[in-house]
Amino acid sequence: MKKIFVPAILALGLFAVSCEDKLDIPQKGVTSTIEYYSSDAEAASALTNMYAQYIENVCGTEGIDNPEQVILNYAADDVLAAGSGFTDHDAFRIFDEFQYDEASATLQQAYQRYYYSIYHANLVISNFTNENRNNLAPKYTSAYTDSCVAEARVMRAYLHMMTALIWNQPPLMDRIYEGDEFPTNNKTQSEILDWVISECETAISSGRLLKRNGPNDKNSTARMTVGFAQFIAGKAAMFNNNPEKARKHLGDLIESQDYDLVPSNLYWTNFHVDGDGNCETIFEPNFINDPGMTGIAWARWSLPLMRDRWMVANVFNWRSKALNSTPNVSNTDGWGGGQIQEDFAQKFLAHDGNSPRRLATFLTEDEFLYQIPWPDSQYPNGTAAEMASDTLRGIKAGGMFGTGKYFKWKTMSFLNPPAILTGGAPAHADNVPQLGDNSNESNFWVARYAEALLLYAEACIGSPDAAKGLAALKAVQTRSGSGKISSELTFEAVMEEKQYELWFESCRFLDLVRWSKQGKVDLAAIYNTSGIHQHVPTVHDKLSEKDAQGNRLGTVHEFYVTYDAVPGNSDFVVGKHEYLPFPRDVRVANKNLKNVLGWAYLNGAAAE
Amino acid sequence: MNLKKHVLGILLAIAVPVCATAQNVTVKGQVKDDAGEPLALVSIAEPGTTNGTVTDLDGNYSISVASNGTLQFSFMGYTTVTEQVNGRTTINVTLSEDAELLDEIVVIGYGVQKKSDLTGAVASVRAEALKNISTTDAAAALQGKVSGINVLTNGAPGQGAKIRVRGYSTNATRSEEIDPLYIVDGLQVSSIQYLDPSMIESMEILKDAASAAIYGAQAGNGVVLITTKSGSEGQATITYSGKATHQSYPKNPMMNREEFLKYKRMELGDNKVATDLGNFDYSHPLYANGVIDTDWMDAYMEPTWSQQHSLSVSGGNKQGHYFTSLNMVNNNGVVKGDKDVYKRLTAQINADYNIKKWFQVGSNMSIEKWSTSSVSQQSYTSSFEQMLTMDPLTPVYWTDVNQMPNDFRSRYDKVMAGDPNTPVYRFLGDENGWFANTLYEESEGTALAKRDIAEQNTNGGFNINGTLYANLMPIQGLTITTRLGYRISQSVSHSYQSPYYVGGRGSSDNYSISATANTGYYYQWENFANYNFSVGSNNFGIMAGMSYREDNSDNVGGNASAAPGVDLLPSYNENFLFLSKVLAGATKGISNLPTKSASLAYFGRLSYNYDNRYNFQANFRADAFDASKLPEYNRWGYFPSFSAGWTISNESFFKDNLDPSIFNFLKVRASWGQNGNISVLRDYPYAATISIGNSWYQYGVDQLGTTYGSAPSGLPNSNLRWETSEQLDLGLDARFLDNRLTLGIDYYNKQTKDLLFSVSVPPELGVSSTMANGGNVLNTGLEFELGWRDRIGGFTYSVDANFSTLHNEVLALAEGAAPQYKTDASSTNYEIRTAFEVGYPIWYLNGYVYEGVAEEDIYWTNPADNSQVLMFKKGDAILQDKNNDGQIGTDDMQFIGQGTPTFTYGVNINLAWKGFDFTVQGSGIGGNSILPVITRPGYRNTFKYFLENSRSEDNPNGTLPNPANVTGDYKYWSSTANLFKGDFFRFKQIQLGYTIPNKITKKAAISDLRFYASLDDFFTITSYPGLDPETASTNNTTGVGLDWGSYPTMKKFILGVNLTF
Repeated sequence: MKKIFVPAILALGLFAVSCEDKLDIPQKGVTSTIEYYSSDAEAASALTNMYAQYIENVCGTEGIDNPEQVILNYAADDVLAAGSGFTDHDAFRIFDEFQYDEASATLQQAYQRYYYSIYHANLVISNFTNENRNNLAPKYTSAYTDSCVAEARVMRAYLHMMTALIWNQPPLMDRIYEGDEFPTNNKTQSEILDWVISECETAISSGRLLKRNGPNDKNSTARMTVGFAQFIAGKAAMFNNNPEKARKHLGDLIESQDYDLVPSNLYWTNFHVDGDGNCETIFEPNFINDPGMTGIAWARWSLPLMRDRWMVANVFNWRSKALNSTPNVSNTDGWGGGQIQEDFAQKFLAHDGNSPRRLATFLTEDEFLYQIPWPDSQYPNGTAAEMASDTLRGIKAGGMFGTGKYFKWKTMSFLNPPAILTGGAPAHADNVPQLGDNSNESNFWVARYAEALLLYAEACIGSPDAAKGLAALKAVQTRSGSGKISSELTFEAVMEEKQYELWFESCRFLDLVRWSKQGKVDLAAIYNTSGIHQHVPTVHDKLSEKDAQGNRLGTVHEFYVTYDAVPGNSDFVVGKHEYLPFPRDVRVANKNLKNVLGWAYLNGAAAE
Repeated sequence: MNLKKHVLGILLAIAVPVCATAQNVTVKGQVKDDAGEPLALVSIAEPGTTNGTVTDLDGNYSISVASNGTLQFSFMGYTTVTEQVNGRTTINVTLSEDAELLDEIVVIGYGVQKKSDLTGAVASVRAEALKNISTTDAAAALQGKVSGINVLTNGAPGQGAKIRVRGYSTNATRSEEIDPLYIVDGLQVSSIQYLDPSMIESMEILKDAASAAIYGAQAGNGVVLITTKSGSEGQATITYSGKATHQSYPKNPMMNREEFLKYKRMELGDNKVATDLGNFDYSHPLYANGVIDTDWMDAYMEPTWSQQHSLSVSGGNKQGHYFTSLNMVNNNGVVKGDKDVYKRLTAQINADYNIKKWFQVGSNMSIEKWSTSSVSQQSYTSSFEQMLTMDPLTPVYWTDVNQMPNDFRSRYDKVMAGDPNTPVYRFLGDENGWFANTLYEESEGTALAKRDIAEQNTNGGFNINGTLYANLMPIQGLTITTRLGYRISQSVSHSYQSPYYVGGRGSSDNYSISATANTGYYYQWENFANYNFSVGSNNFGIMAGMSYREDNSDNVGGNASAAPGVDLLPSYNENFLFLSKVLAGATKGISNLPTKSASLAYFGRLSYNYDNRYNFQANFRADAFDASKLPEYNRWGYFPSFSAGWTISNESFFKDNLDPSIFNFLKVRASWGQNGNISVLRDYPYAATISIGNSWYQYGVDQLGTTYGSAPSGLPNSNLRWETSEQLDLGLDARFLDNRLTLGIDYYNKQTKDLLFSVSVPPELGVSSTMANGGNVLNTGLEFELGWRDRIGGFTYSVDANFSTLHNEVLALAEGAAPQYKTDASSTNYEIRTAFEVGYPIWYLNGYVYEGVAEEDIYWTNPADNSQVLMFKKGDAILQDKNNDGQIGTDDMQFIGQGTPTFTYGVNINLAWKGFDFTVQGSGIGGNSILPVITRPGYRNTFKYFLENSRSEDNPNGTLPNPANVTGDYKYWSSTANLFKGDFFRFKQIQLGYTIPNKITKKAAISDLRFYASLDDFFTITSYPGLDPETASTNNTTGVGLDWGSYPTMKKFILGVNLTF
């Protein structure tokens, strides 16, 4: 038996085996934070990341649409949520109908996307300056890192302006916060806007910020520039009731002559791929179809889809299901969200007539029926009489909800840009084939020269620069093609022009709130007594509708409109709905965050 | 392991009849039990030889044997009797029931233990309880068998069942994070779906922490130990079992045309419905009188037959044992066509050999080849959701191009005409016509269309799982084991899809193709020693060991797609559908990311027994995982446990005072232990790192060219540590009335502390959350197991029942953590959420409380100024305004139910008489709720229940509002008005078998031939108005309780045969 003790001892030796070093499996695709942010290349990488995070967050898709775009535009008085009915697109509809609360997912997305983007701008600033928690000196600086910091400073300022306009008193994040810190929101909106202006001024005066090299310089439109810093400083000043400061910065922008309005016939390109980086662009985050990225499977199904605002085409295109066949301007199914409000469209039509601007913004009944291609109809190229009785064009039985006799057009994604806009000239599709018909390659709208001109015009009212302001207004009016040119600079003229020029460009709601604070408009009248929520239209086509016996109501296309009221209370509550509440989860996660004004009652509310 | 093998070998030897060979004396006789009743199928063997026979139904036997030989009479559950022949030709034997055999051996992890010595809560299921069950999945076989276990199944072929041991207690969002640890013959596996129940000798579930603690960090969700069969000494046996299963689907809970139209008139108004019918309804030749009235369940599903065959050969002698088994499953589910199929071929090869008296080697190996294809379910617009919600006004087929809607028709005509500008769409259908789509609503297509959109979608591969071990027994009582466990896996998936058109919302212009190959190997090396010795009445057991595990996987995937108008492949014939044939113009993608994980553990156990009265046990395990989970300084976790048992019935005061025919056995147990949970930790959450090149931006507006960006990979938490659950278990085991009545009771209290939590942080910090420890979840419950077995004359019967309660409550969240909400149903627009919140069960259903129909206008009084605000108009649904602010909003959402059961139970009844056997098995759950997210506004079907209970002129007392008042009101549909009891009791099996008398079969050299017929999952008792409460409850962890439309449990009629040579 003794011999077996040898293997027994050997076997026992197995217990002494230690494999602990085998547990040290390195992480793939990362490097330690400690050595990072110490070269120009790493500064470039941090800056690129800032833009990448911004375009994916603030400009990207959230489920089926972009939070900023739906919140700011749906809340305006000239947009209706539309869709298929009062139960469609609830997540956005609530902003149109003022039925949101602090638990809204879209609200939360909007908030966190702005602050994620701010954080990534702060990664540049806090790592390449001493603007960090303990004022530590950066590991490395150079002229190049200074320029990166200047760009990050403008980006951060712009984002803070947006959060201040939406939440009134959000936290001011002037550096990276660490895991044990809780941001506070004790600065007033005015203080934040002052800081925004000052940050832009710092960046401009640093001399490190890129400057656009004339109206044909496309590539400076996809990043922070002196021009954009001037625009943000000017806009922030207007919102801070400081027209003098606004005149300075916006005046500098205009005088630089680095920007210009596109010709009238190209107005429509501002909202489509053909206008990316045009002379009117002050800043638009850039998305282009780079097969190097969109061709990679993982990349295609993650980042590019967010960037191209995947499904934005679905949300905003006409509701395909309500149509008798599909006009070939777009190849994807539309869900009909975000329609132009009927009364406003009527007013716009009366003002602009058949101007290129109006044609780029919405279509009339006749244009919709007969001036766009309906290739699947009975008579794609028929006579007027044939087309009038063509049952494969027009609107299906049941009608198109949220829509009067006017059909929004500006926010459509074009597969084939229609001749009614292009005049037959070749033009790019908006979608990216690899990403599907429901993608949209056109850049997200942030700042274009027309807005700068109108802000400047407003800033000049009653000032020594009134003549310059009037010239700015006239430039926009002239370009619009409406033929209506103001002879004097009035608030009403600017306000009205802005609504036509910048419909669905995230300006109107913020302006209304600003003007109401200045006593220039009455929000209760605009939203409540006007009855826009009590008269939500549905447009029907007599040629399609049948009675209960199955007989058609008409032999030719003829649209008529029925109306419904928004279910539930859709009143704008003055003192509350001017600003959004902080998202509940953000409030609960941060003991320092307090709601203000009409939402203050939520403070201290349990997390449910 | 050695002891276990030995005992299992004996058990099998007892159970396996052996064929006779000629000898010089023929002995005859009868075998009876204590009551004088003849015993059939008693095994009679001549020890040391391969000679043997079994008794017939009258207990008679006949065997040729050496006149000076020995005969051994054995029968499961009875004492074995040995008789010397001594020249006799008639030997009658009486067998007594064996109380000791009630005391089976159970596997406890790195060792075995007598059940009577157990100090923890271990549930054990033996091979006999797994015989002839219809499921092919080892996990599903446990359903209803033991207390404290909830088994979640899904009806789709190849969908593995999930086991929940004493509920779950971690903040997991992924199902695999709350699976128990599965150990098969010592090998850790991630799923036991590959194991056919017929290959299993026993399954042990270590429920309490003390029992599970030997598996330390991975035991927090319980441990399931499986031992596969091994050969037994004696003549080799060949066993075949085969069964054919007829599967059919349950009742249709949806509305037919008449009911549907009635409901829509209520919802939309007579005029609207008349207009819509005027617009869209048409006469259809395939329907009676041309009136379309489609039963979509009937259209989508059809009864099918599936087969299962199993062949095993086993045997052995004193030198070694072998068991080999081949098992074949071919299950084509009830969805029409061959898109829901599970095929599996498994071979199990187990062998051990005693090289020396002190040295044994062995190997257990299983080779599995599998393939599966499936249809979509339990998600938005899945095929099963479409089956339920599609209106009955839509026909299954369009039989004529004139029935097609305009958009469909124009594309169809263009494709037929070869229009170069139109993609070559597939228009789905079969020999009866094109699959129709609804004209009334937007829809991605019917269930049939959804089934066929992907032309090729296959997934399959093979797995080899096994262990190689050596046992060294240098001195009496000491066994040193070294064991190498391994898993080798390979799988490949292929998919291909060409352009198709179902409707505006269900179409694709693109071709796409993809293939992925996964390979993996895992190994574990474990070395441990068991030493058992006795000093007088003191019995000691010591076990110590170590384990190293490493898991490696690698994958290579490719995909390609072509934009509209671009060709993907030179031909679209089947023999061209490969990535290698993709043309240059296609967009191609590749992927590869190998992974590796590893862990190291040291463990030990001390057990002490005094005089079979007092048992103590202590376990300890130290576990360390690789760097992807915790940093080196926090890597080790230590998991101790202690337990004790007192067998009161072995005390003299018990024996002396209690009549053993009334009270035979009593033991009380108590245990305490700690287990860990590591599964929610991944991806180096403690490390401050920069992800290089994980973002990109293009500065040039017109030019291509990408610049890459880098950023911190998250907000690290360097203080992370192990999540630990602490569990106290108090148990009692008793037997009464000559061991006929058995009772087991357990109470447990499990607190999971330092819960690993994704804690929300202010988004200003750049992320939404970070991992942190904190929070506390309580699970408590009572478990009862009651059994009765007896025989009356030739009639033997047993009844086993179990019942378990489960109380689950979140006691605390991590500091700074907000309640967590999941809106799994957000794609349906339903507002219903599940929530992880203090004071409530994990992921309970958070919705609105429905308080009935408003009988008149209801006003809210504003406390500020006493003004009255109209809240609910007459006829509206009243929802509770919890915070009394005059508005119904998310602030009013509250606990309305839980998706997980609060009690589970099972019943097993076995009867046998003269070759007939009859089994009834059932299991049930209760206390859970189901909220179907099926009902949508417009022309979409829903449960008949809503028609029957909605208020209307016909039904003025309906408990639900008229549909017109609630259509599209997702608050209402997310309320208790749409919440149903998920309780159900299902007869899992009703089986009648007959064993042909041995005197007939032995002429064909068959020792055992049994035929049976079985109704499995045939009857269900439930009040749930939907399709199937069982599969409706098995959605993912955070969405449990939401019914999306799931593959229902099929009703099965089974014919089977068991044959042993």
